[in-house]
Amino acid sequence: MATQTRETNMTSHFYIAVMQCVEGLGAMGIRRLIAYYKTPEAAWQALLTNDESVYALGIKGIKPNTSERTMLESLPTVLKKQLEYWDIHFVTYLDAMYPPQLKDIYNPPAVLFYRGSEKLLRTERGVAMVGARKCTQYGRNVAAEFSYELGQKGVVVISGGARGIDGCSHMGALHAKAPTIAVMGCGLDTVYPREHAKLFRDILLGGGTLVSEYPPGVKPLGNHFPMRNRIISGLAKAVVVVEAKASSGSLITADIAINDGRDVFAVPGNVLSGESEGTNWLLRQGAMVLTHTDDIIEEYDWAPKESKQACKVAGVVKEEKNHNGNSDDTRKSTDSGTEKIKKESSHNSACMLSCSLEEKKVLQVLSYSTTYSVNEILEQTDLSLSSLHTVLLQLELKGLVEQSSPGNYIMLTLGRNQFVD
Amino acid sequence: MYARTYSMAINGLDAYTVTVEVNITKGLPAFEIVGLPTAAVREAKERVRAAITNAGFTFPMQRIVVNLAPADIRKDGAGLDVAIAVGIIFASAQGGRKLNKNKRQYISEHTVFIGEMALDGTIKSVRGMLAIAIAADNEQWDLMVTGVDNGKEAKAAFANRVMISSSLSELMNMLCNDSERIYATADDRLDTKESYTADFSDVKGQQAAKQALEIAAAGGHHVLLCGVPGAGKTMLARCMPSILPPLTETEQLTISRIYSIAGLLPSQQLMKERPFRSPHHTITMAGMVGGGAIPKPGELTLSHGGVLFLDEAPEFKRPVLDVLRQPLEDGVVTISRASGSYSYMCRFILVMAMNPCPCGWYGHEDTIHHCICTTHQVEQYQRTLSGPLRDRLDMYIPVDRPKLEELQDGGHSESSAAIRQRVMEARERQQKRAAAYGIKEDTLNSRLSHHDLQQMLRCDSSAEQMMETAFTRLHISLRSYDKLLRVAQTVADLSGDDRITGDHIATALAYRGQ
Repeated sequence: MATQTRETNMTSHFYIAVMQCVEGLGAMGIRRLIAYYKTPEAAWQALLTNDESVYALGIKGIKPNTSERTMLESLPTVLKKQLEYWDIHFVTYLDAMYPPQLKDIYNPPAVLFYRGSEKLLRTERGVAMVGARKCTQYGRNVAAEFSYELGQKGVVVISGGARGIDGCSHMGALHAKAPTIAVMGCGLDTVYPREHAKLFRDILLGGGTLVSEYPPGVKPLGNHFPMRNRIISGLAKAVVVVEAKASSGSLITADIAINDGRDVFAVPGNVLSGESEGTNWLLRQGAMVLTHTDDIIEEYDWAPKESKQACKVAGVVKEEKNHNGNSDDTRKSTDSGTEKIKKESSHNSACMLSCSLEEKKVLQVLSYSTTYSVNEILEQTDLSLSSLHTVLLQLELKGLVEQSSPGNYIMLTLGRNQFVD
Repeated sequence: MYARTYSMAINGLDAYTVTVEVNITKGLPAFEIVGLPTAAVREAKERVRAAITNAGFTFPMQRIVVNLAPADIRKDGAGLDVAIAVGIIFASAQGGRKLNKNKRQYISEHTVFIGEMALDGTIKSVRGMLAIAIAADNEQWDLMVTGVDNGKEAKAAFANRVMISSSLSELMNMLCNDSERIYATADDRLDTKESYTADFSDVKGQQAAKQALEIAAAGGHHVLLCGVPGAGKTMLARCMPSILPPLTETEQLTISRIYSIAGLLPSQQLMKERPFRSPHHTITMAGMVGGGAIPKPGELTLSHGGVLFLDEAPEFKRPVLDVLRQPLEDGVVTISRASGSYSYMCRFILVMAMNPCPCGWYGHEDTIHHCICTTHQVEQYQRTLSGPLRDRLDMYIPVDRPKLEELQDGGHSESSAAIRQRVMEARERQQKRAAAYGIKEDTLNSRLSHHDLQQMLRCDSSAEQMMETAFTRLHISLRSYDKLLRVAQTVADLSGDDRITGDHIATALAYRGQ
């Protein structure tokens, strides 16, 4: 019996997804239609037949253009085929599986199309990482490092699929073998941006989810992204603004987040470079300061012990394997700030231990935030050019430094460290 | 009346003998040139007519037919003028009382005439004299007659005597009337005082870039310089020829011949410096590989033996850049035309320079400069250099702006001469190794095939270990693997080691780019 109801629900709710495909009809309109016509199917029929009440509801309805009408009539079959072809599923606001945290935002999406894990969407421990697409090395490092740590602590990182902070956040979390949620501003059949094709594949392989409000075939238009941001903040418990300029889309997300009752954290940045003006402004406005991921863990009392459970809820078998000698350290980390600092320095010293004298010399010159060119390092050490090349290569192979662009070296933080197994 | 003289014309980079036949018959006064003359040769009519009259001879008012043999090759250039003029004078039995038929015949069968006529009868110099002289020398002509300005160039390659005269009347006097002949004398070829304008001692700082260019010079590796505007990429590239070994005698001749045909040879002397060509980025494909019905050498060929520098490489048209691929591989550019296909040599070191992005500051932002390009623009910009082209560049050299202290530092940086000494030693080592393995002697490391590499490279254990780690960790492709070994071998040659060590591999890896 129960399965039968569910199936009828499924077919009935399918029309919500269909209505989402109608141009000019948004989440609001869909909900209004269904509230009036009781069932999604009836609402769809009313739309098709151009029922007069549709106009009364303030919805434009469908133009009495015959070619458009025939196209609309074929919409359900087309959509069904596309969903099957791309292996896209959907969950509507009438379903029990609909993420509960989304229900209390202003204008929750009527339907969410997703690929990958569906349980992950209902996570209670979601943290949204947002920030500029064009970001500095500092922003990239912070995003990757924090996501890595959050991932390790069983928190689900939620972000967009864009370049810059978004991409680095996913990469950091994926490196901690934690599942992530990527919210797209286009149909899930489109890979946007193209260079993230591999990242998206990795997210799916890592037990993560790709989500979008938009049905397959929808192009990534500029106006979709602010709409997408409400889903990013809606799915999460807290929103972390990693790096944002004075006028940035991330600030809109922060705004939405506050209105929807989410907490906003901001990472303080360099006051001299304009790249962090937005985040610093947020801090002045009263956003919470985020200098360490434990700030979030403490705020919500997400004790590390339960992290395993949280992961299980998310349907992920987390490998209980230490990523490096330091992860023990991370797990045992306690609340006090002094210990955090201790831990960070112990990370450095652990790396330093395995280094030769020359390597240490070079590491002392380098920093986590700015890049140094070979010439600059050469000036500040007494090494010869050829031995410097050797030292830098060794450090690169050890995964302690990276070339941010050819010839420019930067020290690696754990989240970006790809080579430590 | 019939007469025959000989001259030479240029086809591609080579010259061939042209037989000029003049036949004067009775009939309405007319002057025809047959035998596939180009416009420049056809216009010789007017020049020759005026020159003969102005030199004090009579232009026969009869029907004159000039035939240029072989008839199936298109003859270009004004170098045939003198031969035609002399032919007409001979055919009309002028040229002095002492000139009988036998003497005329002797002169015409043993002399090759090269020169362009001016209307007043003076002889002007022609383009490509050196190529003509080389061909004439091969064909063992007894005497070459040419203008005064071409004398030294001709003598540089022509072993027998080169008679020079300033005008047609003087020429006829020397040739036929026993007035004293003037012969050209050659410059002493070994007197090669080079004068490079740019020297590495003028470049402050930039140690890494200098080292990289030294490696490139030693092994003949093609490189890409990348850096912010004003970092000194152009300056570094300009210094490049000064650290290449001096030209050998054969190289001098080869390069001078190309420049002679292009009309770029400095007057009265051979090329002593290695060429440094830096074409502007608006250059067309024809300009790059060589263009024209009979293609003139393009920038690729003009860079033979030297350096081809492409500044602002991504600004070049994509097809122009992609045309570089085959020449970079083979050292020869082959151009096909209706008249046949021409192969021009072009073994050069390619030095490309680019900014990291259109505005120039991507990845190098400081307090004043910010990159204002979109990510998309940056990608588009960097993608202008196609993958196959990048594959052919052995080294990627980051160049950053020197610090103010470095510029003000009066300290002496190493001169080009000192660097060149090391480069020459490294090249010698390469030649010896090539000889030991029976490979062509002038094969530099950058041109070693995969097979040769496998055969001759000796790595020590540290190098092998480092290669192994790097291969897996740094995701090095098989193609890059060979590239790395070639560069590492050059680094080893520069340091005088027989085996490649870990340090050499590390240096090669430092310039691998991405």
